[in-house]
Amino acid sequence: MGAVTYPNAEVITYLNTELITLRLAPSGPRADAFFIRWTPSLLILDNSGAEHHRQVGFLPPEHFLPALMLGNAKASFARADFAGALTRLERLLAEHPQAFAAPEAVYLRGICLYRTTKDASNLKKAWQHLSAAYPASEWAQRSAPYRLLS
Amino acid sequence: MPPEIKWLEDWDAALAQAAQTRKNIFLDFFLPT
Repeated sequence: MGAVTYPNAEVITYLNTELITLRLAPSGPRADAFFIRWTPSLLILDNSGAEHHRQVGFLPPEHFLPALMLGNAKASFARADFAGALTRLERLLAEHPQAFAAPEAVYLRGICLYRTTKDASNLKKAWQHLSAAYPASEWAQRSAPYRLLS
Repeated sequence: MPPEIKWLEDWDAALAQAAQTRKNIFLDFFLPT
């Protein structure tokens, strides 16, 4: 991460502007509290200290940056800030549609839109998008029941 | 210039900063080499 991903200009900008960045050794009480057993373990926490996203292992910049965006969106989603989550998900999908994080972002966007509008067609649209663009992803499978919605 | 990732020294202060800035926390469990 330190040799390849952290030096990337876009990663630097995102970390420095969108998140509070902190580092801890992978042993000790705090690491135990988060069940850290391997490095790198990279967590997105909210301001209560609750974990919303975890990455274990290396990702190159083109996948790491959208993973950060997804983590931030998941934290917003967990707080029922669906508008905030949607803003982050739309940016992720516009800028990084081929990222590993993109299929989960499509799924989560569909849920956010449904929770915002109560329009179930958003769930079916998420399945349609996933089936067309990411048919091999697990998120296409997770959304499969939504194909039955009218 | 890599991002400035500071060593966590004060947990409560970090949470307070997150609340004040309305940002989430990126926590990197780092193995020094």
